[in-house]
Amino acid sequence: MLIILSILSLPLTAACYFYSKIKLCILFALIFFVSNIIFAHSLLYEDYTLFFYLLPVPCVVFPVSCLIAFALDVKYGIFCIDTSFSSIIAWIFSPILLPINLIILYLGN
Amino acid sequence: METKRIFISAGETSGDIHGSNLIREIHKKNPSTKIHGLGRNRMVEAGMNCIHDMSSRSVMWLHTLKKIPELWNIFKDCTRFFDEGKPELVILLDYAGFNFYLAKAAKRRDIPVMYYISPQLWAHGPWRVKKIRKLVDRMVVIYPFEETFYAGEGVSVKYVGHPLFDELNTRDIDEVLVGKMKEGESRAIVSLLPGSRKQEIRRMLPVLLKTATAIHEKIPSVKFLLSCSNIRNLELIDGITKSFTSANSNKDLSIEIVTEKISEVIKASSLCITSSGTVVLEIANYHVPMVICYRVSPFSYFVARPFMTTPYICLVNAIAQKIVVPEKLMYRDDYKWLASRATELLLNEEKRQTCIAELKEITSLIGTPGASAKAADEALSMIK
Repeated sequence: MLIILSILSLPLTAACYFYSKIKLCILFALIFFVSNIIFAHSLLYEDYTLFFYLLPVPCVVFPVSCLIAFALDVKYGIFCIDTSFSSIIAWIFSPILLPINLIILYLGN
Repeated sequence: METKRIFISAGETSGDIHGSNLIREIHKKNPSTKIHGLGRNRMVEAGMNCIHDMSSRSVMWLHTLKKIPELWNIFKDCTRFFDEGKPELVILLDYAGFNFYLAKAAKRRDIPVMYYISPQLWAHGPWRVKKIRKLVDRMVVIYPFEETFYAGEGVSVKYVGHPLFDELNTRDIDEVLVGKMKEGESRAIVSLLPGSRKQEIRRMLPVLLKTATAIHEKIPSVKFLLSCSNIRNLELIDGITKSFTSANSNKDLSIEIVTEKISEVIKASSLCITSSGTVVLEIANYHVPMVICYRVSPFSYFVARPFMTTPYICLVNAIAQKIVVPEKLMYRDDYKWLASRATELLLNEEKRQTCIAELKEITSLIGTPGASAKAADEALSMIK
């Protein structure tokens, strides 16, 4: 169930993003991040605790922070730069979490 | 006459051209005005005291990261000039990524800011208008719909027309060359315009060449011209074209490359197939039917799609607010679409004449020269 949720939530997030369904996109992105972190926890926490703690930094914290900054910029116009590149960062870094989990699962088996 | 000090910043080549025209007009109206700023050779030739030469600093996307230390130094020099030189007005031309910083620095020092040639907020990233409202005192815009857009957002705005038409009205066309290209008007001429940036040429030219092959299969008498807008791109264009023609099975297809004669190429053409950009206004100015495409990577298309707030990628259609010329944003080489629209405009005389009539209507609306002079009036009126 966790694997299915982890895998399915990514294309659903992408589809909602593409068709500008922002609320649904946020919901599926949350499902993606939460399910994949739990997935990584079940695979890594016991034997590779440090790696488990390091993994979410580039794949979750960094892109999500950028997206929050972007959302604040859209709402209040606070930065001088064009922050729309945040979505590129999010789409480059976030999906990496899933293949890493699947590779670890494959290697574990 | 009292000496005024104006600071101007332009980063792109187009900004340099329009900036130089603006400087000339300011000097005509107030010859004692001292102009300092960032720009390239044209602005320097027009009389600007250059704080930094911005050639080779036109960057996009992640390439910007490499230039940050350089741009930071330039920014510091500009703020030093704001403090020591005390300009009475800051004029920013496009180049939003960097110019927004200068606007902020000027605002902090109570220097009025005029933004001439708006970043295309109406096309993507309209939320940035909040920054404009905070940082800019007057937007001087070049498209009529921009005036409506900014006025609706509560920004002080003035529409002056497009400065390209100032230049087009004074540009000398080599009519002999146009005549040679036309070869007595016996054949239809299709010109391919792949853009001016190397990155753009690499993406666009292969799809344009495939389109030419498809058109040639349907109408073998067509003559193809390929415009190379800058001699520095000739090697790249020549290389791509040669490798394409050597791999192409259609040996009758010949494509003539014409360098740095874009106006002549357009004027000689029955149809232009071009990437989206200011060049479409030049094509419209000569009332030549065109097909527009813009090729992006599938990833860029995916990422950018939710931010695209305009249904049109081409300026001509955006001005008319309807499809006057066929256009397509492509994430794959959809040359069959391009070829079918091109042959339609070549063979269907009714469609062709409708397109020409609509282009005439649009250029009558925006093609009036005098934009730079009007922008100069706005600038001088902002100086107390």
